[in-house]
Amino acid sequence: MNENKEHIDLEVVKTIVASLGTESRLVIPILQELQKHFRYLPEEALQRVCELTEITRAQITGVSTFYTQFRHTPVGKHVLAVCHGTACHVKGAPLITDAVRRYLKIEEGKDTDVTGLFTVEKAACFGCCTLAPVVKIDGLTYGHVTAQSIPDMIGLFLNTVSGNLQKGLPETSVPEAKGKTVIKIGLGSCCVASGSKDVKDAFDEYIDRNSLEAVTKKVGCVGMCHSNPFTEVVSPEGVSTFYADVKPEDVKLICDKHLLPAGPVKKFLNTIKKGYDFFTFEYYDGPEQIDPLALDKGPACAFLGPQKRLVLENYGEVDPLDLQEYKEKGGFTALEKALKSLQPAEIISEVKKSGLRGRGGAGFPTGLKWELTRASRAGKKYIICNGDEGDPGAFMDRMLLESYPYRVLEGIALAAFAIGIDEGYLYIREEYPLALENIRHALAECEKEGLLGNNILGTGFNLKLHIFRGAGAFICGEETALIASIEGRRGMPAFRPPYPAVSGLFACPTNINNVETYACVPWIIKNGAENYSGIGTARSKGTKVFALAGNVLRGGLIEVPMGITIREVVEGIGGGVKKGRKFKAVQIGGPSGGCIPESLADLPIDFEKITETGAIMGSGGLVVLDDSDCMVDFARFFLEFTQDQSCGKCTFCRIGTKRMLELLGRFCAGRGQLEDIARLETLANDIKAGSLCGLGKTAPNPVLTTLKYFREEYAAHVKGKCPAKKCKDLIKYTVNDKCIGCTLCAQACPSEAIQAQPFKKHEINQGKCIKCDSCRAVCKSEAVDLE
Amino acid sequence: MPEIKINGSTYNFKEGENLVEAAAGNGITIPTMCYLKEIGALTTCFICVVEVEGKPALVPACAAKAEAGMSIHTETARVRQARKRALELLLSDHTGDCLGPCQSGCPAHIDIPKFITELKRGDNRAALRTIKQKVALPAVLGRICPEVCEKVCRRKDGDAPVAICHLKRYAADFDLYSGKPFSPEAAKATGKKAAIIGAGPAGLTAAYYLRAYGHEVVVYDKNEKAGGTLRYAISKDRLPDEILNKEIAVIAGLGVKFEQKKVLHRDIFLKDLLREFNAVFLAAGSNPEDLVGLEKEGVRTGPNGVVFEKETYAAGIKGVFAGPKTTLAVRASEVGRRAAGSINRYLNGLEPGIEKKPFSARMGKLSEKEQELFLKGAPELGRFLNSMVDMKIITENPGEERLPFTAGEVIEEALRCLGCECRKAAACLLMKYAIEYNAEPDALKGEKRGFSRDIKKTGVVYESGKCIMCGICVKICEKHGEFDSMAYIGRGFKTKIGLPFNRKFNKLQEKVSEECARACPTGAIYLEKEIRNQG
Repeated sequence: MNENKEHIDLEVVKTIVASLGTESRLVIPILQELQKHFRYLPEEALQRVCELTEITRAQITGVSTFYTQFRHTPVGKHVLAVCHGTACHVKGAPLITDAVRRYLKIEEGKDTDVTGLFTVEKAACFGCCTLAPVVKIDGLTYGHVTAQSIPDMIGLFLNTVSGNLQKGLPETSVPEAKGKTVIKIGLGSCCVASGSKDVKDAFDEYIDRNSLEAVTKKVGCVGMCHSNPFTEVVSPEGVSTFYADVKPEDVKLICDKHLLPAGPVKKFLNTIKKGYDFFTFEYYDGPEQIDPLALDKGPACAFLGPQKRLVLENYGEVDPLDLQEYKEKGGFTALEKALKSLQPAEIISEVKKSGLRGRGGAGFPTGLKWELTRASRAGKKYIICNGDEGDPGAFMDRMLLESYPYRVLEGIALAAFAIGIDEGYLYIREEYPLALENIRHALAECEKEGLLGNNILGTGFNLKLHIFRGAGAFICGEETALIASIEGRRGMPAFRPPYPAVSGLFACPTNINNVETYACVPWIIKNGAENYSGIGTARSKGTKVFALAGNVLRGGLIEVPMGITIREVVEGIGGGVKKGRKFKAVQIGGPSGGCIPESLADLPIDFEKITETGAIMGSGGLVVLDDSDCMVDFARFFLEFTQDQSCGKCTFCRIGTKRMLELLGRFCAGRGQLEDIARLETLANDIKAGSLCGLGKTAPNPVLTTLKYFREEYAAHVKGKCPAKKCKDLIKYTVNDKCIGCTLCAQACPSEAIQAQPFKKHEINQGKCIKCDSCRAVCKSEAVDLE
Repeated sequence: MPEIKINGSTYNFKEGENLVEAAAGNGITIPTMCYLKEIGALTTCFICVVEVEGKPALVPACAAKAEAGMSIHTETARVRQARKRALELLLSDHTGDCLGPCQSGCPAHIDIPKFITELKRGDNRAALRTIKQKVALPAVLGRICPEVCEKVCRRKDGDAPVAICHLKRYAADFDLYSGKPFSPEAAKATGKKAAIIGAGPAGLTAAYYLRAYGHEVVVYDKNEKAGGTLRYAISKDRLPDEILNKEIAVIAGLGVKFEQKKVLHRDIFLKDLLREFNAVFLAAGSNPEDLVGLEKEGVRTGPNGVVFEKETYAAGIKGVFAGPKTTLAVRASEVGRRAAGSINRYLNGLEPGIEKKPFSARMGKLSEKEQELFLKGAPELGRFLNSMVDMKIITENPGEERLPFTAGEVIEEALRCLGCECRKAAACLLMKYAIEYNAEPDALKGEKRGFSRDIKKTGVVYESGKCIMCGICVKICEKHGEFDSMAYIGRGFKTKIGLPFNRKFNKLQEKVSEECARACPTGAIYLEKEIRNQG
């Protein structure tokens, strides 16, 4: 395959197999280790694996070509992945990919630059949706990337790696905090990407240098992603002061204010108070003063006020990895209560009474599922936590695993005890390194403390949990595909029945729930089913965590009571769309969901109500769209995703989604015919009716909902018009009379479509224009029109 | 035994049976392509979907177990629509020609690959019989046909197309001059009578087939001699009278009567004909003066000649039929044959209706690389009859524009045929069900898997373009514990089935590959020696 045959050290294969085992089910972990070593999968190594293990050549071929993570050709020194999740798409990810490729001069049809330094990939979703558009280079995440910032970003990256490669992940030691001021900094993976680690380092350094009576503390996600890095200063007396958008430069000001005899501090950086513009905010134009952020009034209050945080209880307070702290806040009391004073049936009955329904999307009653698995034939049973959050535009599960690992584990333990299970798996996406890291740590801590493992809390209850790293396949969020994946097969769904409750992992009865579902359980057991069912609507109880992103002022991770309206979420919590724009729709449920128009925004969030619109609740992605978003392009975006992620097993999904995508592509290119609208609709309905699994059955939803609510946009595309001015083939950039001849556009133009003419009105050569939007983005005098 | 309701009736089934088996046990067939009992449900093709009462979604019958009290419906409109759509989706990603492009391209849809195969083994009589299933005047057409078939011959992009038209003419001439020309076995006399107005290519052809169906046929024609445009509009150099007369004589020999110099509305009248005959076929062409006569007889005409129904050729008056006008003899011939078919149905008391175009998926144009692969292993023989030779022969043989082959040359030319038709068409389930469910091969167009061909030395062939991803071969290999076995490669639309690590199909064991060929529901895996038409 590779021309310059390098030497492949096959001894490595032997070592990996020796440490992992030879069973055929281990194929994915073995491939992951191989790839970690070689950075791709050399054919010789794969063949060697087959010689050393029970894995067959057909199996290793099938599996290694199924999962996105695995590469069969060598990669450049660094891998630059552009996130193409929903939020990133809305914020222009396709333009970023084009711009990166142009900057690195990567030839058409190739993915690596000539020097072999960078390989450029598209990633399904990193779950850092509030930082969109996001680029990840090796382990480092860069948010709010623009075509113009790419050279700086790559330069910064190269500087960083030449200095310190390890930068990024937080360490886990906690210094003694008694009697000291505690400075809490969120270190979820999106906080880190927006600079919180740099802020923490700056605090540590400043405290150390000046021997201040203070410690920093990393805490989990606060959810206020729109004002990251978010910092809380807690005085020894317990008084909290909050700061938003803190930069390392602000550390001195904050420390001086709280840790030295007080005096008016200059420099001001409370951006929220200033009513800053989230999209074009510039940091250093304010007075020399830093003001705290009030949580009980203003925008922060609007953001936090309507929320109800049960799953996200203790947000921003606790160190995600500190087991003692979790226990101090009431953690593991539910498990102790259950193990010591409740019968399994009582727990199931309590969960049933609470009205909890699966948070993965379909909303199956959790208690009933447990009951079915419990009632299933006796013998070995498994529990699985589905953390394969593949939905682009969603990051609830990532955040829960990163910030509340103990709560998730406690929920799993409760379920296992209630059902009668002693072994299980946490299936977590490889794309979530921090989540994996934190869960691994938490798991080890729990085993050490006797909260997991053998004889839990001395009650004789055993539960051994394993971590399984997903290898990149959206379809593995489907339970039967997930099971196939753990068993070492291609993630292809199977017909149900039998349901996993009857025959699941290794043909044993298996209970599968989503991360958030498990995380709800400790609260229910601790606070009682009535308190939980008291929240919400008639059939949808409790709260729901959403990842609020897209074209909304205040994005973030939110937890709201069921029954809250979409408008309350978008306009209240999210602060609405950017000024001058019109709230158009919300996309809910990701690629399986649909677009609910603004006219239906007063709809309460409830499983059945959402389903009636043609969308689905889904796992909790909530992407806000304004009038600059093209619904046809958006439907095409989702189809591109599902089509790429289709496992390829059944006819309808494998070929049908491709044909739908081709039809949508025709609309976006202005080549669609009026009859194609009906053709698309029929095809979509046929695919919905004929597919085997949830992916195929729901893949047409984005198309069907946009056809239902925004049919006129399809018709406009047939006539060659894109009303939102998004579809490249249907738009045109021109320069108007406001042009002052500053030549900025000509400098920014990557395709020489604009010639620099100082002090003269510029012109765009339409033949050369690649519609990258660079000229419009750099123009200071609004002289570039888009029509 | 537990009971299940199928299409409203109650049946027994055995515990553990799936719905396909439960239905089959009671004589009800649920179509499926990916299901084989010994392999178990793969649930990939989705042709077997049925409706199960109480379930909102369609259910694949191969995977769902029959349950006592279940009520299923196997042929509802919804089920049929889903099957049709699944078949159309599969066809949209199916790179292969069911019929040879020549046969699809021929306006009369002559089974060209078949008659060429017959010529190859020297069986001229069989070849002629094959040809005459679709055309009544092959010696005539062999001289004047514009060779539509040769324009789509896949060898055309290699060196030169097979000389199909010459071969056809050879077979026809050979027959005409054999002293005992072929005449179809006439069916039992039906006692029904049909009149045909016009003795041009359409009328003559219709007469031939109607007579063969067992009806009495009289042809009325305005000219002195039968033949219409064939006799009066084509140069004698191209089509000598001798040939035309001989072929008309064959038709007359079947018992068709010719009434010459009969003009409609002057010598004959429609209402008289309708009294004497059970059906009338208007094949008088579309000369303005003929149309005036027709109009006066009460037949509706328009700018394109007689107004008729597309599906039946019925011309508005009960028992009167007419087809589209055309200037191409081979098309006119096909109009005549279709009309004969529709009239035959009518005369037998059935709903009239013309034969549909034969079903065929089409591979379309090949890329250069595919073309190269397609031609690999083809006999390296140049086309014997090229235009230079033609010109020389014309001068040496005035009165004949083209020279027929000699017997030896026929075989040599026939050997040039690549046999592009699908060898497994007779056994192909995709084709079978596509026809059964009226699936259109071109209903959904888009990117396709592309042509490839991997031939095992022992003659088992794998054409991945025709693969429908049923997964049966993967399972067969798994069962036999093959070292390099058929495997899934890739994901989603781009998934292919092939051998690991780019190994060739040859690595597969003989016995296993043959088992795969037998089990493959399409022409993706087949034995090279399989010849479609010998089935």
